[in-house]
Amino acid sequence: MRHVGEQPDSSSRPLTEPVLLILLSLADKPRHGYALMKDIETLSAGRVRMTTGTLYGALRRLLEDAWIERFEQEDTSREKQAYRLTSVGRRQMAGELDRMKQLTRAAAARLRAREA
Amino acid sequence: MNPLTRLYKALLRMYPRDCRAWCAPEMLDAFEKAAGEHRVRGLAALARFSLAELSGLLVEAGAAWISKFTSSKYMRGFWIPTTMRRPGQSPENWCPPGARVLSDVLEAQKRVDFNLRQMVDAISDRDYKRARFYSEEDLRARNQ
Repeated sequence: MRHVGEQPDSSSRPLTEPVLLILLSLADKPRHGYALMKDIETLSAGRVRMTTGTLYGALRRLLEDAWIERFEQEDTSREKQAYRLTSVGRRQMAGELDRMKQLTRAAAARLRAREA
Repeated sequence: MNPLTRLYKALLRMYPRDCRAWCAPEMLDAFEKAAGEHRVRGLAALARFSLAELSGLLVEAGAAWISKFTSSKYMRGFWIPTTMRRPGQSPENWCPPGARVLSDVLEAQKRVDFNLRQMVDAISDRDYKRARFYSEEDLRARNQ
């Protein structure tokens, strides 16, 4: 499937669900790994439970793309290294949400037209 | 440490060493907490959880190796030292692609990156003498 957008680079492709959920989870505040897993479960109403492998695989790719960054939370151990969104990541998330809104609007319009 | 955690810890060794250096302690911590939660839900829940976790680990370890040999950005998340950026500034904004940076600054950054890589490798190998050497080299490079 080929996606045509304003930005022809890889960052204009739709986000996968785990990536979108991670970005959404980090949108309000930084979190560490386990807190992310729990929050994603809550965000998806229990539908998505990420394994640690999937979570850290996605985190590694997001770090590579500089959509998130890692930092040490004060007064915590090494295991409490936390992640936060960068401005690039926030832009990507906003772009994806706009894309989804547009798609939802188009789908709703189609369904209404069919029902009418 | 229970047998399941021991098995998980052993399987973490399938990840590339540099990747393992940053993610293994965190993954183990998250796994132990999640396993504790599933343990109280019963044996069947724990078995399902274990199967999903261990298979996920196999798949992602493979993906990490593929990324290591195919992605030019593989190291970026690990090695750009946050201490050299302003708080909250992303690596991309700190040094955007195509930015004109003085060549001596780039050289210094390469030295710092190299020392950091060596230091983390040495720590992974538990070679603390080598780690201390590169730590001192790192301090020297930053002070230049």
